[in-house]
Formats: sequence, structure tokens, C-alpha cells
Amino acid sequence: MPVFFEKEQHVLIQLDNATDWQSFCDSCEGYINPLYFRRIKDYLDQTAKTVVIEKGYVDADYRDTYFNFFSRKFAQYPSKTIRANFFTDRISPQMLFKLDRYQDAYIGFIVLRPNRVAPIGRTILNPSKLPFVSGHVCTAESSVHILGAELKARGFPYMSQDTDVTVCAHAACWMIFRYFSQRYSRYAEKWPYEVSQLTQDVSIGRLVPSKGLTAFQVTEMFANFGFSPEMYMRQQWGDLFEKLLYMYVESGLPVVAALSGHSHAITIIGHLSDFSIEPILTPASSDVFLTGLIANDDNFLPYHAIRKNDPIPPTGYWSRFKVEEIDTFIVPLYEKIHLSAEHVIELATAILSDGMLGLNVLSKQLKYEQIVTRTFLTSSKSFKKMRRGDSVPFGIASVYSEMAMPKFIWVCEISTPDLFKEGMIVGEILFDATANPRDTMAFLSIHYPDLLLLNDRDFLTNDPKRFSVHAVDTDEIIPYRCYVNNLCEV
Amino acid sequence: MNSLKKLKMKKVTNLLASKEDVDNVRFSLEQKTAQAFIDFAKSKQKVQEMAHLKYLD
Repeated sequence: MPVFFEKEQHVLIQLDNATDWQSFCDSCEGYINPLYFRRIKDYLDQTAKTVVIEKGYVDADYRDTYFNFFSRKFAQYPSKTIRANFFTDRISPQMLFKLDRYQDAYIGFIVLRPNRVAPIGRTILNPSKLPFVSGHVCTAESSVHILGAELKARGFPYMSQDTDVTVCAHAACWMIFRYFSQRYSRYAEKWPYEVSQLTQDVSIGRLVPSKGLTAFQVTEMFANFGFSPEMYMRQQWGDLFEKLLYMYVESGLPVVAALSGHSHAITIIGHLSDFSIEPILTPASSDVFLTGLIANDDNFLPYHAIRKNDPIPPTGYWSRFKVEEIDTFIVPLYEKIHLSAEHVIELATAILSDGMLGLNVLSKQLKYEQIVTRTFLTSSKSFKKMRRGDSVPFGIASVYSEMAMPKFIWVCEISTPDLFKEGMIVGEILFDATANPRDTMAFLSIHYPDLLLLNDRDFLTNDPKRFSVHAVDTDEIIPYRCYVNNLCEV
Repeated sequence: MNSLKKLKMKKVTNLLASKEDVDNVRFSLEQKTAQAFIDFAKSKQKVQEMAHLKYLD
């Protein structure tokens, strides 16, 4: 009977078989219903070997909805929750007070809310510990304290809607807000009821209990949270729509995606790419390798894969939705990102194919017709930090370190199909993310395999001194590592 | 920039060295992007007009 401390606040269950899982369900009685129990069991059955249950756990997110909403109902709702912590190792009961020794085995936690309908509250599960998850995903770290032991939960925050205060669109926004507040100190933590009050638009009805949100309201909530959001609709952007979506996700920006055919909203948090795909045509951009997106859909558990093409692969955690069903997305941009993805695509293409600045004119080593590009947004701080420790040839890493850059830059990496498969690039164009889209001199630098051109952004005129051009006479292309910091590879 | 002294590349002085050259670069880039940027502005306006029609529950 591997259930320990059954009558205590902290219960440890070794999950060896179906009976043990039933013990988990019994220990959480009233806080979990059969549907959600099955969902959790099916999700973690092959991975979790121990669960540590914390009864009477005070969860700030549930407390917020409790005090502002559930406490006002006629029926009693408990104010506390249960937090279930899952581990990949079989932990003996003697180790209950030393759980920090099991950091490597820590999958994460699921908070169970006693709201009678949809119990899964704040959840962080490490995608690297889940064998059915693969791809590139946004992750953030959160501290967890169990019986005095501190553990780190790494993953993308998740919760399901409670169908009262929050619906799918609230849950999708909350996940993004929580990701940002965990990862960047400039963003304050927002709880679910607070999230529901971030829109003041009551033109379609009261805010709570909520019956749904419009894309307009989601954008308003993003703006009131502190973002400078942009909205894209497939109908208006056509073929460019999926490319733009991919570029923002590649930039480490999770987006709220709407599937209007299902009146549903999900959070896109990563992508699945198959780099063994041979691009049919070059020049190509890296979205040609895209096979799917990774989403947090509040109707399921985290890291749901959304396929680009049929059929659904036999293994993995796949959604019934397809990428083509996403018809709108809202991206949470930082206020100082003025240049949007579509402008950068155009500017980069114009430069690379230009009669004076293009590859075919300025590089002897590489032709425009041979290249694969990958374009993304990143902070100049992270870019400099990574490039500093990298072997960018000819001392260019030092130039980047010293270059004056805005807080955020757009990067268009240049590679070839063969090198890109190995995660290697041969150059990049950097853009000032604060530039006006119509300022065609928005680039900070152009680096081709045998040339470096710097553009002084402070020049107002076409004075040639704004450019500083450096070249090397070489027969060899020296590749270096592509930029990796925005997403975590799983 | 101090780091340019350590750069293992030679400074090129005859490339994009006149005001006319830079004029031409700017003109060329403007020409290549002008129509796309007009289309983008129209798309964004349309998106704003339709935002209230996308209902998510």
C-alpha cells in the first residue's frame, strides 16, 4: 500500500499501478472529478512515479477568484486548494522532508481548485520531463516550496477556465501574463479575477460571470496589462499570416490565437520544426521547416501539438485542431517594439536582393538564390551576451558587443539549407525595433560571410559617413552557431 | 569604436562612398517596400474594424 501519511496535510503516493492512481483521486476527493482525474492520469501515467499532495494549499490565483466571486455564492466553497507535485522518481516516505534532493526528477505541479466544475488551476509542468512533448517552447522558472524544501518548476504556466470568472480567452491571457511576470520583473503578477477586469468593454454583456470575450477585448486586456499589442487576421494577411505567427513565436513571444470556427482561444507557446525537410525553392525562410505549433489549450493539459498537415502522427500529444483553423492572433509586444514582423520581412528581403546592398553585389561567397533566413526579435542584451561567447568570425562579436543598440532588435539570420540543418549561420542583418516602418535605413548592421556594414542610426541625412564598411578577402565561408535563447528545445 | 581596430577585416573606402550612392540605396529600398507597406496599412485597418466580431468563449 504505497500511500504514506494519508491522514496528514502532506500525502506521498508512489504511483506504481492503477490502484495507486485511484488513491491519488481519493486523496483529492471533492477537488477533482472523474473527467479531470482521467485526464491527469492519462497525461502523467507513464512519467510520474510519485505524487506529493499538499492539502490546504493557499493558491493566490484561486484565492483571488474565491474572494471576488465564489465566496458570494449561496453554497459554500473552500478557500484553500490542493497542490499535487509530480516526480519521475519513486520517492521513499523517509525523504518527504528532503524533496529538494529530487530537483532533477521534479516534473512540476497541478493546483486543484474546489470550484465544482473545472478543477485544474495554476499548473507548471516541465516539458523536458514529458516524453510525448517535443519542439521549441517558451519556458519560465518558478520557485516551489514543499515542507521547507525549495524546488524549481520550469515550464509554461497553464490553467483551465473555471467557466464562471474565466473562460478560454481569460485562461489564454492569464497564461501569457503569468509567463511574462515570472520571466521579466517589469511585469506584475495578475490573478484571474484581476485579468477579467482588464477590459472595461461591457458592450456584449457583463464581465462576470463571463460568457466570452471578443478579440477586441483580448487586445484591450493586453494593453491594460502593459503590452503594446498587435492583432493579425488570416483573412487580411493571407499567405503571410502563418509566417508572421511563426516569427513571433520564434521570437519567444507567446500569442493568443483564436479559432473562430470553434469560438475558442488558445495560447501558442512554441513550434515544431523538421529541419530535415529540403526547401523546394531558395531563397527560403525558416518557416518552410515548420510542421506544427505547440499550444496550451485550456480544455486539455499543457503542450498540445497542433499539426500543420494531415495525418495526425501516431505518437505525441496532438490536438484535433490544425494550424489552418487559427484565423486570428494577438501578440503581446513590448511598448518599444515599433517595427512589426511584416515590415522586417519586407526590409530584409529588399536589402538581401538589392542592387547595391544585396548579397549578389557585396558578397563573393554567397548568392541570394542559395540562402535560408530566420527572422526573430530579441533583446540586444541577450543577443550581445550570446554573441560575445560565440565564435563569430573576424572579431565581429566584439563589434556587436560595443555597438549601440536599442533594447530590442530584429535579427534576420542568413544561412544555407545544409548549414541551417546543423544550426549554423553565416551572417545576419540587425534592425532597430524602434524604427519607423517607412524608414528604410532601419538596419543597424549587415553581416555577410565576407563583409560587415555598420549603419549609424543617428544620421538624418544620406551622408556616406553613416556607413562603415569592412571586408575580408577569403575563399572560405566560416559558419557559426545560430542564436538560441528565445525558446527552450525539448 | 574601439572594437573596429581589432576587427580582422579591412576598411573599404570606395564602397557607398558618395552621397549619391546613399541616395540610390535609400531610393532603391523605398521602391522595393513601398507597395507592401501600403498594403500592410490597409490590412491593419481592416483587422481593427473586425476585432469585435471574433467571439471567443
